[in-house]
Amino acid sequence: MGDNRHIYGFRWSRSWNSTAVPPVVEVPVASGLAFTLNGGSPCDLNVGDPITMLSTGYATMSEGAENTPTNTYGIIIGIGNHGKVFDGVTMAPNNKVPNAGGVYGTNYEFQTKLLVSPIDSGYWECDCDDKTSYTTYATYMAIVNYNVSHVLTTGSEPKADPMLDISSAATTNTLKWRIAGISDSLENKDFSGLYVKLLVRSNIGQQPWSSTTGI
Amino acid sequence: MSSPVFTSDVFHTLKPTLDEVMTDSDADAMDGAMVMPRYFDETGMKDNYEDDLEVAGPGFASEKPEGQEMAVGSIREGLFVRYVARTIALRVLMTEEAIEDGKYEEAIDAAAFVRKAMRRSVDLDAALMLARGFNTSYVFGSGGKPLWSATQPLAQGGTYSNTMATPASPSRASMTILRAQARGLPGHDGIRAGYRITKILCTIEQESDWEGIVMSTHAPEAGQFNEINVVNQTMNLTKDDIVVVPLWDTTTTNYAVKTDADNGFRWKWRRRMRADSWKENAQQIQQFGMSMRYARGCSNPRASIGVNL
Repeated sequence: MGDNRHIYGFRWSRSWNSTAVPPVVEVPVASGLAFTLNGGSPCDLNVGDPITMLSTGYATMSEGAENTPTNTYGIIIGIGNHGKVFDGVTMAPNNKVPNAGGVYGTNYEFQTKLLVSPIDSGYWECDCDDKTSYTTYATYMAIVNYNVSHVLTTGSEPKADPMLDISSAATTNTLKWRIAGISDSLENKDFSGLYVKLLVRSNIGQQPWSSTTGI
Repeated sequence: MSSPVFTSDVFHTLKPTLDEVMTDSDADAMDGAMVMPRYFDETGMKDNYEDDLEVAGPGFASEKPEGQEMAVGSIREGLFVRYVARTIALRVLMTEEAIEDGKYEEAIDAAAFVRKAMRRSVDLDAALMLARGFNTSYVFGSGGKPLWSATQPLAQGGTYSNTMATPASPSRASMTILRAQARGLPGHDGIRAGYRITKILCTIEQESDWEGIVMSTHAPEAGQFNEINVVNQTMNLTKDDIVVVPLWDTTTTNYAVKTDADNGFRWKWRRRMRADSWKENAQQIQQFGMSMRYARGCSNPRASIGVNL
């Protein structure tokens, strides 16, 4: 049978409270942020990537099962500061934050910003990263309400290509995401194929009301 | 499922510097039209759900010895299939800034993109019936069988098969076998009804093979100098009867033939595509959405024979 179409990153599915559009929060990124995937190759920040907030007040990529997972604050849904990143000379339109780009120093008018939707605001759709752990609709149904990690895909740099590390699905309370259901997208053509789409919500996040231990 | 379109998502269109904006044309899959209508029978739907029911007659009469009673025949209900309308919908969110500042309408024409996606979704959902045709997790109606099964139930008892017993790759020989199988399919009363093959449903990988089989006037195998090609000459299949289903992409080898049996592939529109647009004033985000409601299925498994290679 065939694989399902791969769609990048975390996608907004629906809100907790029937809000028609995802909430948007603008968060800053450190000047010249250089993120390397699992300490290896450099990675950009793209729409669909998960981010975590550092104690410095800046956002960075939220690592998953490829390294030590961090608590995710939100998902990038756009580039802030009017969709522009400082290119060293001026603010240039961009649809991503290039690795080690946006070197604005202390010129905060040129600060790199992301438009982020907090993960606690609703349900997200994301692709599974293998087609061997679960192969039928029934086996995917059986892991609804399990927890799972996300994983950034080594080898996809400079894109992080975040997916659900579906082999990690378990009732372990420390995994960051809760599987909320199987996406009702028509794109779930073949459950024995790759990139089955599931709906997830936050299990451990970074909001004050987020659990720190998970369920 | 995705996020609003911000100016960063269409940042190349914010200044008039482009020569071409490349995107999928508004025409759909093959030859500018949806593929689904080529192998589904479309009708309207008046209610939230509608049912199809098979009723089978007694079949044959019996000889009556003098003075004895006539034999008694029966009428039985058979396959019962319920069509429940589902809503399929999609919207695109776009910030006012992206709309105001985008210089290329074709890059931010949410209506065109959503309309394309809706039409492609129709073709995908139609193709899913074929992709899952042998999957016992996707059954139609009270028979509890998938679209293609070796044990489709008969109302008066027994079963019949609408799968090719020994799957064979596309060829004149496979078509002669399928022709005989179609002719031998039992009607609702369990008696051979003599159905005829009307269409070939195939994947894109098989298109050229089928064209050679269907369009050759003589037998397309080496050494067959004078033998007519029955597929072309007597089954009267033409190129237009080859329905290539591009979104049937879970296989490269499976195919099916459609017969002239009634009430086969049914597509019932409860509501055809409808567009709505509205604005979230607080966030100044425009929304463009389309939705449709339909039910699809198969009320009569005799309408197709599947080949599972």
